[in-house]
Amino acid sequence: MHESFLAYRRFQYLKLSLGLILLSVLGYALHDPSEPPSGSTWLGYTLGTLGGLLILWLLWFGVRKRQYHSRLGQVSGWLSGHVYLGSALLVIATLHCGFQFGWNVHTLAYVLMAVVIASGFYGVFAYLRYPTRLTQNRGGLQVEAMLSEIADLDRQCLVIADHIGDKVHQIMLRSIERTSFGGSLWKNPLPGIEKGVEELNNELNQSTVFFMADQLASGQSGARAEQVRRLLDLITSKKALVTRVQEDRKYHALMKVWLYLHVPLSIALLAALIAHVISVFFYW
Amino acid sequence: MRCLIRLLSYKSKGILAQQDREFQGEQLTIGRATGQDLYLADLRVALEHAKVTASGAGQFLIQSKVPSGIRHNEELVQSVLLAVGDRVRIGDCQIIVAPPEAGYELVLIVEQTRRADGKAPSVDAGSRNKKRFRFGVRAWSWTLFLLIVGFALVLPISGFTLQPVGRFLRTWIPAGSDSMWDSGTLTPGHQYFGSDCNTCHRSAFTSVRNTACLECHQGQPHHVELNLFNLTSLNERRCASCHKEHDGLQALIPSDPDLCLDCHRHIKDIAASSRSLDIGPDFADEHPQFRATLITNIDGRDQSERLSINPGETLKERSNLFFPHHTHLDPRGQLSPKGRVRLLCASCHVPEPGGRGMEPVRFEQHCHSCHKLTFDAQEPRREVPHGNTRLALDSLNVYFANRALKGDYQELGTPPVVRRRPGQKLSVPEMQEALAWASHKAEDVGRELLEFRACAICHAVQMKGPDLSNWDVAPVRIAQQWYPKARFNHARHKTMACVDCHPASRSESSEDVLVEGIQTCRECHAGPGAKNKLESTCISCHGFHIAQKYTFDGKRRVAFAEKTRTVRADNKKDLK
Repeated sequence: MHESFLAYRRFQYLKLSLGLILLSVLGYALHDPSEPPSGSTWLGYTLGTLGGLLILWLLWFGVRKRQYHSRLGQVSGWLSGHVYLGSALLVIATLHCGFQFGWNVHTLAYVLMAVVIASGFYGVFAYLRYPTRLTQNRGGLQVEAMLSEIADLDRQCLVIADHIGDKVHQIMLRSIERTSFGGSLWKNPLPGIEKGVEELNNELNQSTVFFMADQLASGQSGARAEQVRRLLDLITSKKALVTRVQEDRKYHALMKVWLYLHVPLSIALLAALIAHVISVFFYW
Repeated sequence: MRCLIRLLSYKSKGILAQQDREFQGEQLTIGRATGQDLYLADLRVALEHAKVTASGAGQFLIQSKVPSGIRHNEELVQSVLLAVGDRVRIGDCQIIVAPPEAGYELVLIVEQTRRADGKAPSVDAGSRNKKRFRFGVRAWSWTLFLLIVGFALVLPISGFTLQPVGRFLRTWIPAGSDSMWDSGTLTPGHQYFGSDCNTCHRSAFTSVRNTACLECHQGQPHHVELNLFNLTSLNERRCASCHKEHDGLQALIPSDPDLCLDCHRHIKDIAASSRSLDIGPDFADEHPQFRATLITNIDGRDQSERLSINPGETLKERSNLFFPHHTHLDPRGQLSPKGRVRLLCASCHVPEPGGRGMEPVRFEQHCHSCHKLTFDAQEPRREVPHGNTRLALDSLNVYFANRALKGDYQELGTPPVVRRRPGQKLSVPEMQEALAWASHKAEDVGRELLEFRACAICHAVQMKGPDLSNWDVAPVRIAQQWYPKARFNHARHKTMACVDCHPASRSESSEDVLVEGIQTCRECHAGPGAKNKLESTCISCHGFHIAQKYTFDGKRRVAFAEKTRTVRADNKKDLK
């Protein structure tokens, strides 16, 4: 039975995380320093040390998930901890700073941390939502298989189109050229996907299909009409396949796009954290 | 145009075959139809797909003849000028533009990418064959990491190491200066040097030293007199361990009782000879009864004492003054030269300009309008001067001598020489007689003033022996403050009536210490966390820097030293 990383070991990390949050909030509520709460009270230093260690551990996840031979716990367990303790970090860091913010490296670290955590929340959402849809969309077929089937369909289309005539062949060529999956998808995935799907629809529905329908309507000879009908069938199958491939890519994109924020900003957070800690003790 | 076409094809087992062909003509046609100059068999090539023509100046233009276009360096185009190194893809064939050679204007290398098994490559295979430059996750991460480390760490530290760099950064690149490290705005008093962190933060990884604070706060008093309490725990204390900057006034001037109670909870453990009492944090029930500082007379000697003011008990101090408050505050008023006058507290007790304390009561301003220092019915407006017994007696001598020599002093029992008509000349014996009378008269009047009238009305007079020259008014010792260890501010208690704290209207003697104990304060004040009462901590009433003789850095206070010298000098003058 598959267990979600969120439910890892009966929500072990959720409990740990809630425990940490509870302790920090209790400590903050009971702590009564002679100065306004900040990182420089004993509780501030404690929560700061805890938060800093948490950040380092959370960052180490990026290393751990690449160590396939590591025996240091399962990656799903690490991920579970990563998600829950990362969420707890938001509370711990906020209490560490005592709700004091400003235009400085300290708040920069906080903001980076908050954005990293927020993007992580989206990541959890994406990982819960899209893999199921991805599997449903694939229907047991690998993308490579779909692509080679599309190529095969293209080839069949071209053979028939060539039989029908040069102009039909040219339109088919254009249609194939337009539906090829470019490497530019990553540049701007979401609108790129939309545009790709739209172009595909336009191309298949309007120019190609209308052209074919015209050919049918103009009462061509029986054999030729049969060829056009076969060509149309092929295009319909291809369209269905292309839609599935596009969907597949869309889901992949949605599952990956947040990492472009999450990973670089977490490295930026590491830099800001180092600067924060050193600067605090540099000007003690 | 003269063109060399080099056909490369992959045979089975990966063997590469090369075939060179020369072309000469106006345009090079490319397509799947027979008769095309460059014949490409792939179905994805149109019958007449493209043509290459010379466009002058040694340049060649490739144009697509079909709507599907051609791929030029992976970009879908309709026509493009060819340059050496360009890759043009039509169907499964790739045309590379090579540098011109051996008299050919254009050299095209035509490469079949068709796989050896005869199957066409997948539709998107072509688009993957060239990896584009992408600013990927790793590059972003490194860029951000280096940017932040550079701006938030390397630049500020270099600015700290090299002062000109620091000044430059603060002026022109604040985001790369140590202002990035500022954890919170400075309190208003410190903001004028706020842009230069090194005013306080002088060495790296070292907390702010007292020298930095004392540069401006020179002469800040110590907590204790070092000659009495030389406590290491106090002397080694950093200013910043109590006064924390970058966190608002509340952190700069902390009011947490624990800071005081660390020592004062059990003060004898810290300073065995201290006369302070142990104390707890709650003013409402852990503060000892107030002790008033006053002058008492024990075994004939005046001395200063601190005595507890217990409820229902009135302390007596030795002020050497006779002043019954209840008579003066009689609601029916007082008889005065100007008629009946009703006195109020404020008639005599006027606040200092700052309002914190009260101005001293002065005879000339507050008493004199009723209490005239007259002494002679012959001249009822004439008075002796106040404040100095010798001067007063001298003035009597001068006055009576003058009257005796002038004559016309019409008092019963006065010798004729003094009563004579004015303008009548005196002989030397007469003069001596007159002056002898004057001297007696002055002594009689002086004795009367000191013993029964004027002086004796208000002052205790020390009558040492029969000789009047040894008599004197006892020095007045009214405590300017009964609670000198606290900082009571009258102005902040304006809503109270004077009698709420000073039970003067019942007082019959000026010896009464007219101030209430802690119970009166507790009607309004309570400790930290108090509900329905004013939260008051130690520093609401007490100061920390209260030593009179020593500064916080252990030096003798200049102001105090000067004051001592002045007082000594005054005393010497008096003695002379």
